[in-house]
Amino acid sequence: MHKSKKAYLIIFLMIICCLPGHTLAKVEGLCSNCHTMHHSQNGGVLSEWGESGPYKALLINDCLGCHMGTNDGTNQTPHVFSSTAPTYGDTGTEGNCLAGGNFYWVTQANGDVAAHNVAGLANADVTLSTPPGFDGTYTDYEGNAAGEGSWAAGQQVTCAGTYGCHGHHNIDDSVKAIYGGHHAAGSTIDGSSVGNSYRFLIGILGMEDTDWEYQPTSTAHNQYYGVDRGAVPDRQTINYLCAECHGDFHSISGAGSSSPWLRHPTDFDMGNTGTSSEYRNYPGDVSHTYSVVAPVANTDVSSVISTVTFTDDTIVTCISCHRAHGTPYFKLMRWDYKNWPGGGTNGCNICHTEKD
Amino acid sequence: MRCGEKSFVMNGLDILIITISRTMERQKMIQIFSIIISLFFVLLIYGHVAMAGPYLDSAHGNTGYGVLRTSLSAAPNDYAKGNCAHCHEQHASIGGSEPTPLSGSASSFCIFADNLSGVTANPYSQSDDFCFYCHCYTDASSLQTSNFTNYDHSHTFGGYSSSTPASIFAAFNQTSYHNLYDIQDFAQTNFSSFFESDSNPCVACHNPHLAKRNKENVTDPSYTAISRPTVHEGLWGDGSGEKMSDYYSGHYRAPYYSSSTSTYEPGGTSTYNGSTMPDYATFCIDCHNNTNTIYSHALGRNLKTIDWETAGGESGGDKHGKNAATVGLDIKNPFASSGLGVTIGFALSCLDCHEPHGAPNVMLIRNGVNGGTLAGNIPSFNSSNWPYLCCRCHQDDSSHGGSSYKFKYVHHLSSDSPYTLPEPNCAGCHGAGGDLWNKSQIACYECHFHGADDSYFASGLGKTATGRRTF
Repeated sequence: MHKSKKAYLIIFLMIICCLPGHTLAKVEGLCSNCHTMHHSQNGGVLSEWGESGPYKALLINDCLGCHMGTNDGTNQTPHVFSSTAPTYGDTGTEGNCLAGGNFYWVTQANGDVAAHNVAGLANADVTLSTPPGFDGTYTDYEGNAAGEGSWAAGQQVTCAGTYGCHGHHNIDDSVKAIYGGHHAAGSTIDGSSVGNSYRFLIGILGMEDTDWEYQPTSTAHNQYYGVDRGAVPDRQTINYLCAECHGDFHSISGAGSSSPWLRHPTDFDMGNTGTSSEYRNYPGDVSHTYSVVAPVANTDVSSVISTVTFTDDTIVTCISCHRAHGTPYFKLMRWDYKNWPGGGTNGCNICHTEKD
Repeated sequence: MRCGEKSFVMNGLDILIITISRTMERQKMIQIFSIIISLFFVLLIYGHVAMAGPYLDSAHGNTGYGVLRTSLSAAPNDYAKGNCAHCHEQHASIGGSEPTPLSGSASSFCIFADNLSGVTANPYSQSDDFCFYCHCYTDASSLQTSNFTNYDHSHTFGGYSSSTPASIFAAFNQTSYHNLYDIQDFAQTNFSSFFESDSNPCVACHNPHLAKRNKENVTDPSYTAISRPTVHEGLWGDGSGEKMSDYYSGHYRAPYYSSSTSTYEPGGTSTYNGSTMPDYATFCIDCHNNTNTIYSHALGRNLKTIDWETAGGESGGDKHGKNAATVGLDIKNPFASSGLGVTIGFALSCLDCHEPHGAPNVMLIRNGVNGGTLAGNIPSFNSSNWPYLCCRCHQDDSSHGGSSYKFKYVHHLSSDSPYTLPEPNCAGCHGAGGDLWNKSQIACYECHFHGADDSYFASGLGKTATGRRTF
């Protein structure tokens, strides 16, 4: 091959490699990777299967069983629970945690304050018997409310189902609640089904990063869907997902509709602030590079943005500050807010750029 | 070949040298380029981390003495000193419950209690103003660990240690005070770029994310605690051109420090030109100028306007400001021998006479002025005790063989007195009887207040006003 052609090929391949990758939710591979017909193989149970089978839908394990492990950037199953301490670092963007963090920390001392106490993984929260800020009127995109609108004291959160984040809220069982999701094409994230919802979060929109934000960069990350808040909340934003259990933190009455806020705003575009405001300096310099430390949502999730323009693409989200599964830090914060200043990390200044 | 031109004929060695040199240059260029590219990406990735703002330098954000709400000082809510959570509750709760104080509902700006209760006059209770929760020392139950004092301006910068308010809360509960409701009312209209309807009135003058502890560094205005209402996003007093020495160059003379005739405010040092204090004049006239209308709920009227800027003698503004005395001054030291090369035309700092928060005297008049404590309080505008203030700087008759707190000399006997004796009708103003030095004195407040002239005499006293500006 001519040298210049080789060079063009190499450049082309490099460009292809650099393009942001996005995966489809659909699981691929052998059926036996996930299913067993009889929960028996040669009269026994395979070591890679769960120990408390048989499982519904002929699965070889439960949610945590399949999603337990250590991420290395090549794994095809996102690992959200590790048996050993994940590497997290200051902001969770350089180790082996994914976008949602890791449930590992809920199993550790003082774990109640570090992660969601998912049933089957950890005991109920000693302090919080119900989700703080729970508002049973926050029905999901399908019109169903978590806990059917009433959260019984002591009821633990589950991966999916009535008390879960994933799948349908009107189905109690976690497996049934996401039934079919893993087999859906997922080519269009429109919230119409579990499989066609962002990360199986029913109704929620967004663009999914191929490797679930394993060591994300400004060009390779989830693109979260958000809107600039109005009187009627958009039930497809990533913030609304959180509001389904923590509604008071999101509602107009609970948080306000404009500054001065009663609670930290979400679903609010920082582009609403004055052009000289500190927020217009996100993420702390004039580059306006999308920050994976404190990510913001976009009304347009048709592509991944690497820089923000403050036109409905700098929307504050719950997960700008928190990770949904867990982190090593107090209140599932993405960084060690509690020990700052003096120690810890100031991630707040990604948006509050003058507060440093 | 002309002289000075190089030959383009090169031998093999020349070519080798040039080739090597170009190769080295290219390599060097590549190295430099690589370094620049690397630095660019380092800055791109870590640029925001490297940038530092002023919050950590502020009194509230300092890791050694910053905010630490006691109820958030123990595990599991053991937030670091200076952390935002000591003032702001992002979800109006922490861990599903509300830490002390229990305000009962979410508050604007995500702070732990409402900024202002709506009360229109003092006495204030602690819950009337958000800042009082910590700035109360032992005058209420402070939420801050460890507790701390905020003495008044006279005490802190003037050395009047007997000046008693030890907290901001107590300072506002004195005879006169900066009315918090009025400030909020005025600021939300006039400083709407940053001040909102629910903003804390203290924020009109202080930026809580910037304010420093001037009280611990009284002679260093880089530790200023104030921000001009018109320039809220920066401190005032720390920058070039922001000192009293800059307000009206060569015309500010700091008053004596408490009980001293050789040291001066602030801090009791030998510096007297105002270079160690913020330009309080410019600061105050952001609001108190000759154009703003400021309504006082306590007084039930608009405040008198203040023209601290306009020169022009009897047609100018206040002579305590940039306007100069038109004749002479029978004034005391350190002004009489100011060392500035001027004998008239001083421009005072507002805080030479006034407290910023509150005072035991009317109109926020300080308890100690120009080296001495006032002989008594001035409880009302119509008080006869105003001489206690005026004589701190102006010569009373005791300097001329008469009585203390009397001002016959300056009004009638001094070479530049406005009403030189013999006056045809003493009794018209002073009543009949009494000896030369002890006639009934016209109250100071009749003629001497911001914006005043001597038109008092036009009120049927049988005396023609001179038209002099009398303040």
